[in-house]
Amino acid sequence: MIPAPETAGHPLIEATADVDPAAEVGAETRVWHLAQVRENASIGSGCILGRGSYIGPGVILGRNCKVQNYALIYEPAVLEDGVFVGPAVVFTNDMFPRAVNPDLSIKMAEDWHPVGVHVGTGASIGARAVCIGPVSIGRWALVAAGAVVTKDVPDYAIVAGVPARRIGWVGRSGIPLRRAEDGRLTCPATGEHFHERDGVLLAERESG
Amino acid sequence: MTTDAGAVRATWIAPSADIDPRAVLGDGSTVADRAQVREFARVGPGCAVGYAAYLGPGVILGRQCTVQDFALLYEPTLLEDRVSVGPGAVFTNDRFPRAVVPSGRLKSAADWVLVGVTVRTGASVGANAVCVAPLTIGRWAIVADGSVVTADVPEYALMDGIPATRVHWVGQSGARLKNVGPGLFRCPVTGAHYSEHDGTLRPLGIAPR
Repeated sequence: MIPAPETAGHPLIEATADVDPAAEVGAETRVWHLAQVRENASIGSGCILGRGSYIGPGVILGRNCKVQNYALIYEPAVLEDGVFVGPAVVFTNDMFPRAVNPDLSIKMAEDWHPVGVHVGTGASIGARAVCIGPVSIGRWALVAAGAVVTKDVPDYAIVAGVPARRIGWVGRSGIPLRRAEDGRLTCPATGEHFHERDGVLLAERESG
Repeated sequence: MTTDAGAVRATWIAPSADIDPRAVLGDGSTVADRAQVREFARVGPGCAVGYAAYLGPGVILGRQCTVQDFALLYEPTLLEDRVSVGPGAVFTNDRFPRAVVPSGRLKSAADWVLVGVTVRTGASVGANAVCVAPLTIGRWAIVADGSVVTADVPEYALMDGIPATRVHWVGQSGARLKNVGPGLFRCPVTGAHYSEHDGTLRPLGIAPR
């Protein structure tokens, strides 16, 4: 979405969106209809928050993140730059969800410890995936649609299923890496090379 | 929602539904509150679009389709006639989703190839199911609630799981077919017979009991 000239440098917030005055929304970020951004959330510049999406109190988004329709990001999630959150994705924040304490009194904020989802730069979370906090999604990783992520995802990993398991590696373009005869992995889109060591993928320029 | 073929009802649009003026709604279609129908979407006659459902730009619905609450159909989704999409189902349009291109710039519509979900006549997609485009769901197939469909679905298949696999055959009624002979199946509701050959099912018509 290219902002109209008169709005350049400012966020574009639809009238039906509910952005708390104590939230920070960066320049040229687009907040679509019926989205809710809670108090103290910090949204970087150039982000897109889809229709009906929810950003919990104090949640942090970097620059150029895309949060699709009806995605629910509960606090204390942190998204680095360029993160894609697909439609109807949920990031949870309670490992032991209960409405009440054992004595049946209602659970209050002080009765539980919110745990967060951290998503590294460039990573993508597919449609309707669920990430159960506390969990960390590596940089440029890709979580397949409908997956349920229960443990940390390495950089560049593709994970799928319930619970999510690694089924491949992916480059920054989002296209799965191809393995050459010498075992080296290559991104068909950018031509970058990677190698795998002990379940970790390193871009060749990073590995020194 | 009536399913009577040819029944004529007034088109009804809820006050808070957001229908782009360039979208086309067929006779007798209904659109519930907070649903969004984007530009150039075409909704055939007798369709029902549920609460907060989303039809992306140019999405096409045939006759008498039902799209339940919070279902999200991204472009270029195509539903033929009498397709049922359950609440919260999502049809995606990007096989390689990224917010940004490798250089870090925000990805725009020009940066990816849209791929779509096609659902053929009479098929049903269950609640919270995800269909990962590109794929086609065959006529009268059923996708179980919560499944993730990642490949084409044959006609009359009952699909379940993540990723979804075929667990049964179903008839036009939606009932599971009974295996009544080698490669021969019978619908317990309509009495129709079907034959299975090489992983595909064909209707043989109604035979007396």
